[in-house]
Amino acid sequence: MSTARLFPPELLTAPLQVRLNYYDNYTMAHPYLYEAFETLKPIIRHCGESKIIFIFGPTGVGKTKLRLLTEKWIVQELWKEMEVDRGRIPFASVEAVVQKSGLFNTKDHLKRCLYALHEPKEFINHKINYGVQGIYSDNEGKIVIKQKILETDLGWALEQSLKHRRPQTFFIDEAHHLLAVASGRKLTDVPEAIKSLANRTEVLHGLIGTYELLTLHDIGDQLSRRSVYIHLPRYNAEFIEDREIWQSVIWNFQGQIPTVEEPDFLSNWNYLYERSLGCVGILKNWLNNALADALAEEANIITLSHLERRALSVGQCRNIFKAIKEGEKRATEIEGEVEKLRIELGLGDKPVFRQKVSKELQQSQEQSSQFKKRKKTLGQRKPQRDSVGIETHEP
Amino acid sequence: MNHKELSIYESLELHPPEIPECSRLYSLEPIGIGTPDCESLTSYIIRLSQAHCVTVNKLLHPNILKHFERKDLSDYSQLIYRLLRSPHNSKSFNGLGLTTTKLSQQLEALTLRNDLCFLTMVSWSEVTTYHQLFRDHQAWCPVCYEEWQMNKKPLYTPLLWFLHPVKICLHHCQYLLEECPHCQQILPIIVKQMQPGYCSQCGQWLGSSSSIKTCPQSIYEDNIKWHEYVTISIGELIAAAPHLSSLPTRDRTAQVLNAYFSANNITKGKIATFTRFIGIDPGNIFVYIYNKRIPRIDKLLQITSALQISPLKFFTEDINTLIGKLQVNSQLFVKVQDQDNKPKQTKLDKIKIQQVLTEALGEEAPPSLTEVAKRLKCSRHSLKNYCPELHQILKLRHAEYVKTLSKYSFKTRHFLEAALIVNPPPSMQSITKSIGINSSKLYKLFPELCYQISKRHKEYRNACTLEKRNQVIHEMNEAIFKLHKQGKEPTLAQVRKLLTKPGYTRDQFFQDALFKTRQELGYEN
Repeated sequence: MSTARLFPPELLTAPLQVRLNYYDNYTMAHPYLYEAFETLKPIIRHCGESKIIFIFGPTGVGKTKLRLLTEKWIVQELWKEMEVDRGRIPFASVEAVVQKSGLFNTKDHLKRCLYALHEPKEFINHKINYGVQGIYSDNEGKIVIKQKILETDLGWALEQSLKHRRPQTFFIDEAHHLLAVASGRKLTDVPEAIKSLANRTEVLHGLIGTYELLTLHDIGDQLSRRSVYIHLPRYNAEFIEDREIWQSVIWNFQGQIPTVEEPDFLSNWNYLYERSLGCVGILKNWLNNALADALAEEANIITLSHLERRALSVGQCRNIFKAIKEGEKRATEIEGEVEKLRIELGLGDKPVFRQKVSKELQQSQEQSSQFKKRKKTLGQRKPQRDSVGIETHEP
Repeated sequence: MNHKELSIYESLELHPPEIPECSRLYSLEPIGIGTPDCESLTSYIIRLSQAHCVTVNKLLHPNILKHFERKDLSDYSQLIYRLLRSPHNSKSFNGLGLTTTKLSQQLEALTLRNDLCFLTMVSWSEVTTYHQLFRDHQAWCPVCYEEWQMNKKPLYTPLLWFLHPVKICLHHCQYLLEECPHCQQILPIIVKQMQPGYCSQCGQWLGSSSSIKTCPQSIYEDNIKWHEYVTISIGELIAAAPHLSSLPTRDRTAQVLNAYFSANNITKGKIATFTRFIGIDPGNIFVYIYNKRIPRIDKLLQITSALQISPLKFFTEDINTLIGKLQVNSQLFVKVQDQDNKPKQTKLDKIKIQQVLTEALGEEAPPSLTEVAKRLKCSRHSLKNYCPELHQILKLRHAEYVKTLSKYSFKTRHFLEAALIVNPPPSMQSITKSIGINSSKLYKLFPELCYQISKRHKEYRNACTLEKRNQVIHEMNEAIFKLHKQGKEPTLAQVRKLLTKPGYTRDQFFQDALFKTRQELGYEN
């Protein structure tokens, strides 16, 4: 099938950088991305009590693209409101950063959050806590407000900022970095803080990260009740549907490549799958690099050799795949727990009368008490406190 | 491969979205705008700084105003500096002058709001003056504070509480407090760090019901009508400001009065009688009629209350319909006079003056005539008129006392002169400490001596610095030559190791000297 070239034809005569930029900026609405976006929309419009959305998926699957897409959509939705309320911002996004030490620094993160909320730079290092507990009178009776910028004060400032700026959603990208905490500190501290922040400020928080985020699934019923999970998976070659979509994705990429001749990626689809593990983001980046090479060589087409030169090594792929496999297992466990839950809740069996159960319970209790009585053996001491110290024998 | 099964996916535009410009500071909504309980600009600034979790001076810092023109910026920073340093000036935050206009405009630009000017009296700047308009400290109704806190409403300071003529809270029918019930201090209008509802001196809660001084009816009922009239009238002016289509002009008072007098056939001679009848100095009225001056707030309220109309109608209603409504009533005004309790000159008692003057003469430090006049609440001129002899004696006594005072200053002069000879030359700071007199006072009394002492000390300090530097350079040179002899390059790091006080290496003079010596030795081109 001779495919229509999907890019504007004048691009072929354009300078090299323009062609590269065109391909770099191209984003495809592939089905999983689109699906996740559609699931997100109603949640963002009305989130109810759920104040935290977990968006998780493997690396390079398009999570950040999903965020950008959502941000753009939020701006369109809120445009009219923002024209009236000029202090409001439609959304804020921040990236959770792991410091050089390999740990996540809360204070630094809070500062980044404040920057993201358009807080004037000059204020950030001069935050004070106006909460009543921060104010006290000194020995001479003069009023003192704590001047130090403590972590908690910045937290207070962030809360105020969220309340006043009222973003529709506050995204934390690479949120799995939040879990990089020092030993001795509770893993759940930061997510719990985010949960309570979301609760108090009524601002929807979107945590975007890899499968590592699922660690938070098991902690606390509070966090679970107030969160929504959105899975953005890779295309899995084990399923026929996914294979078909994957081929379409490759075909679309192929059509967008602004080279003189159209490359034939489709016949190498399994090679492309093999080194990108079914993640559209990885594939896009790979093709982008290959295109840059081909254009630099002034080649008319991207050949297999271009692709091979820029492909991830087998070792890299295996590493990524290992993480993906583990993550997917956890995700399916969570999603597949329905049956288990139903059985535990007693929805699986036929219902019985309450009276019958309570009788049985009574009987079993009687039996067990008899059993207990019988169990006491001769010569066994009663549990009691022995007197301590030296006993004095008075005459 | 069956290509027909393949589908084309939509391509997405993911350029960063265009966002409407958002305000630099939070667009906090002012409380009670368009009502008599409208918030004041100072209160808004305090709430804004609280929302941003910074101090007031940080919020108003010129650095956050980067998008203003350089010229405006310097004006602005001077303005803020002046306002926050001197509590006396801070009443102009809510005032009606250029300062207020500038400040509210800057804040409007920062918050992208357009209603902050209504938190001040700017709308009425053309019809009344600054004089007697504002308190220079805070006043508050403790019950209001208590009520707001109970109902979890935001705490703020209404503009009405800053206005000097307003003495009562209409909601709770009680006098406004002007002194902290805990520390008995008068509270400044705005300071670096403050919270509405709490004393800025002792930090205590100002709204406790125990501090309420409900006024005894006997004092209250005489003036209640007048106070109610004042509070309602000013409240109306504040509430109406945002809804006005056009602001009243400067000649409005003249227009109304002229129209009223011509409609009622009141000629010049009669105007004097008329004004005396309603209790206002005719001189004042003539100034207003000829549009030489605009009335200050208390005079204005006297006129409008005598004409039985609210100031709002007086300024905004169509003149022809207004004239028909004006009626003269002197009742309210008489009450004001009682309340003000100002002694009238005609009532000045000769015996009382004599008594006060004799008392003053008996005092160890005879007061000045101005001071006595103040005590009697009369002019110095009337003292001379009533008791010329006593007046003369007190004048002489006071002059003598002032002379003895200067004798005291003779001692100080000696001390200062001695300080000019002492070595090493002392600083003015140490002298003021040992004498126990404020330095600004000393400078005022003996300017020349003080400046000489200060100059001498400065020269001495300069000489000390120079000597110290020479020592350091000498040490440096030795170190350099030592390194040079050893065949090492005398770099800054190397030299620093050999110095007794390496901290000097950071100074410019040191680096210059190092460069010079290195140049001489051929290390630098």
